[in-house]
Amino acid sequence: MITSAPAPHPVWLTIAMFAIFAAAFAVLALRLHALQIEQHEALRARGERQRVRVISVPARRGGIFDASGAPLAVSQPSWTLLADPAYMDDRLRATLELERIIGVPRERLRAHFSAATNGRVIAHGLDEAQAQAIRELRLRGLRLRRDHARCWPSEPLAPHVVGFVNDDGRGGGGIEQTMHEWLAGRDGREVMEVDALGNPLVGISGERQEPEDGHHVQLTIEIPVQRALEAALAEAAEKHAPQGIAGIVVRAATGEIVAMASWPTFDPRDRSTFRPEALNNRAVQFTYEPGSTFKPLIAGAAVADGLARFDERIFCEHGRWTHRVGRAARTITDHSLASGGHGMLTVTEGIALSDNILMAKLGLRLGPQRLYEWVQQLQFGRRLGIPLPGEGPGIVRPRQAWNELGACMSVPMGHEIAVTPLQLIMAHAAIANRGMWMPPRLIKRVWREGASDAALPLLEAPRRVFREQDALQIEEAMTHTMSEGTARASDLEGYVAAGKTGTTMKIVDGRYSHEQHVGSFVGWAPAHREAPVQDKLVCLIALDDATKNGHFGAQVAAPYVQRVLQFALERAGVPKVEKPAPARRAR
Amino acid sequence: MPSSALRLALLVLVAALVGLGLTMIASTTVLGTAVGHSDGSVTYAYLLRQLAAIGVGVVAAGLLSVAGTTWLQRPWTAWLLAGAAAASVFAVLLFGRTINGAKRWLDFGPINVQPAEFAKLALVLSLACLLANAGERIRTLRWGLLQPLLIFAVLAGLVYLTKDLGSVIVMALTVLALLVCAGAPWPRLALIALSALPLLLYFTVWEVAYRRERFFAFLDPWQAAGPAAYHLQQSFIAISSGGISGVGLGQGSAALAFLPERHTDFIYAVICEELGMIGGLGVALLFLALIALGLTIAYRAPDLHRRLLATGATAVLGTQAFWNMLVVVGAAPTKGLTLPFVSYGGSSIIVCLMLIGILDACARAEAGLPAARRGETRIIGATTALRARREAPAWAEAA
Repeated sequence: MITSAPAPHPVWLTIAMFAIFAAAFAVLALRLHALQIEQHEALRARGERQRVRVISVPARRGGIFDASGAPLAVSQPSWTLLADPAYMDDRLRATLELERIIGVPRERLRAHFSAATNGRVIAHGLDEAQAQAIRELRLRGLRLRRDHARCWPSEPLAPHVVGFVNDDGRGGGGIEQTMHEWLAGRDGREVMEVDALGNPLVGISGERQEPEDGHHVQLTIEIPVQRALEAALAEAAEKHAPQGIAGIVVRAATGEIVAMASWPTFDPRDRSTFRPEALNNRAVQFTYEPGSTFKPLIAGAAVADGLARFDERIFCEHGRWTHRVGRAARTITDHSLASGGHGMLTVTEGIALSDNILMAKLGLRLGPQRLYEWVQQLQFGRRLGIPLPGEGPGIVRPRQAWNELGACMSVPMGHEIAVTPLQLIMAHAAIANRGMWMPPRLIKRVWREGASDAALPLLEAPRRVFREQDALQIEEAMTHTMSEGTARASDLEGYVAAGKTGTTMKIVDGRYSHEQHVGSFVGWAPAHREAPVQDKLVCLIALDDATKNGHFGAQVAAPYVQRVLQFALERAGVPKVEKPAPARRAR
Repeated sequence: MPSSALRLALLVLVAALVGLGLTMIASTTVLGTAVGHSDGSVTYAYLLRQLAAIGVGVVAAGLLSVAGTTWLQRPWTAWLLAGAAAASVFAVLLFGRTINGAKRWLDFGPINVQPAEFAKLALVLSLACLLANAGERIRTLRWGLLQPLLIFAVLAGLVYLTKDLGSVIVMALTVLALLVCAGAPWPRLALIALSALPLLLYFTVWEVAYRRERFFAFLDPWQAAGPAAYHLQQSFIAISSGGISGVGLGQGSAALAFLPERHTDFIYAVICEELGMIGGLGVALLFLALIALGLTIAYRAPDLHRRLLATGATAVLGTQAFWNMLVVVGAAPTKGLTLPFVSYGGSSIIVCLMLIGILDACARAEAGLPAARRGETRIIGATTALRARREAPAWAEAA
């Protein structure tokens, strides 16, 4: 029988059910207390962090200019396109339209758009028209960021000196790399609040820190001379098919690098040309045995030490000489051997004719200790501190390895020692500069608009390596190379030039190679006694392993040095002089 | 307390909760960003749809209240309602619409019906009917356990297939309350439940990876990964930003779309952020008061059927409300449950209001209002006449 009368309904049942809910309420209250009071600050901060987005406002990178103020590399305003794949809704349309507008292959775009991370950089350096076209697509998940693109004058010059800028905005190679901290400036930032989809909140202005633009850097490079040097290197490369060429032009009085080039070269606008051998700046990185170009330095050293005089006559053994120390002996020959060799030569003539035996005798007079000290004095075997990446120190063997039969006979003719083109040209510039060695100088000025010039990176102090009269004597001796010596075919027109050729066999697999040579030439003008030192330009060109049309320095390097110097001097308006007819010298 | 005061309190409580719900829905959906559109537009669509559902719910509740409870006690009502609910949930499985990876909705053009919500209502009505008609047989295994559990198994099983584990839990707790209240042999039930629990947990939670992840994320959401953990992290961030007094209506970060489901399942987090601990505890207290009212109505009910109806309605609303709030504060595993009266969602609010209509009918019956009795007779007059021609069943004596 079912009854409508209430079944006995104990109060405890109602109370028990309520108690369960009351317990749930207590748990809830405890949790709210923990979250809203105990963890209030910590979690609120966490919430703020996810709402705040910091946007970098890129600083404008400083420009790089030549000595006259013409641009070598400058930054222009541009746009960078970023994608936030998580917020994208129409990936297909984005892929097709962007391929059309910015020319990025659709496979690359697809890879970007299917990535898991936001803020992917799709393209740099977009111009205003492209940016506007992208804006008009009104696609979700694409952002444009104000940026700056590196621009070069119509034909990029001195890429090994200037360098390039990587996609991440860091300088790679050259001044762009070594002076990056100066050039980059400091990016500003904008703090904005965003919603979960990354949209900035309208009407809430966050703090903004203005960017600090980078410093400009003015180099000592002179664009016309640089262009002439690059053209000369390109022509030499064409004619002699070498592995590589280094070329430098230095102003003797100041040590300023007027031009510097390396072949093979690259185009900073085109990443496909960034091959390792092209990025290599041979002017400071190439290490080679200087050969005969080293001779004037050691001859000058012997005279400076009072161990010889320029007019002193020394017997040159007719091209073959054996020197004995105890029971050991070493025989050296001179390249003049085939034509009967030289007899008595003055030191001056020895330099001009590049006699090996005379140089070995001078080296023996100096002895290992003094010879070693002179090599140090002339700054070989250490980096000169030019602000370019990868400068080589050259190779100078430790002092204990220097002895009479070895170094004393080899180093004076430029063997058993390796140098960089920069070291060698700076040592020769010291002769041209009347004995004062100047540290190489590449940066003329660092400044920022509206501010006074920044302090330049410190240079070493100039140091006197030769007495003035000795330097003049060496220079005079070296003019004979041009007037009647090994490089007479490359003498300048209207200028008295001094120079020295050099040809060495490369060391391949630990042995001198008879197939691979380094042919080089270093010379300067004007070199007559009265020439003002500030007019003097020194030029060095070294060809690594010329394979066509000769390999001697006189053949592969001297003609191009001649061309560059002739152009540079005429352009600078250096007055020409009446050259004395070449005097015949005794052989 | 006179029953009119009880009914008035019920009305005020529900009105307060519904009003708060509308406010919070406005706060979370009016700005375009809040519902996933980044154009910064303003939309009242959610608010209007919720208002329409409330209108439907209020009418339904009024009809239920006026109709009284007698017609719900006819013996086959239980099976009819359970059958209808089961059929509609089954229809969802066949033709349902999928939102957020769960198939829970029947699509009728502008209206999405979520039959699982109605299954809860059907469960309360059918079990109340069944158990009230069982009489002394309630002590038998067949009437006291097997039949109610069969109805529960069919409904909950179908709901479980729609991946709505939360509703299954609410239904299970409701069945438990009803059986205890009806004097079923619940020690035996407890034994069965306890022995079945590990197996049930394994198949419902452990086996499905996303459910396992969801289930255990609440233990330490800062260490766990995945959407459930993210969901809780955002919930915690929102809640904690509120502090004691809240950041103010419409000022919450919820509008910035960091917190998913902020206008539905996680609306309590928005309340805690915008109205602070005061608001959060206030809402919980409102629900506690509603539960107290419901239990009082059940306790004072003149017959078992009405007691069971009131208990069931209170159990559904109470467990769902507190489970939802405990989920949001990370004290219970995530189950897609709405907060009754407050969350956005038409089916949910209509069913909740209908449950209130039934509670009100029970309170009214207790007071023995003659007007209501007449109204009740009028409405079910036709069936009463039919019934009179047959042998008068036992339950007719009550009417």
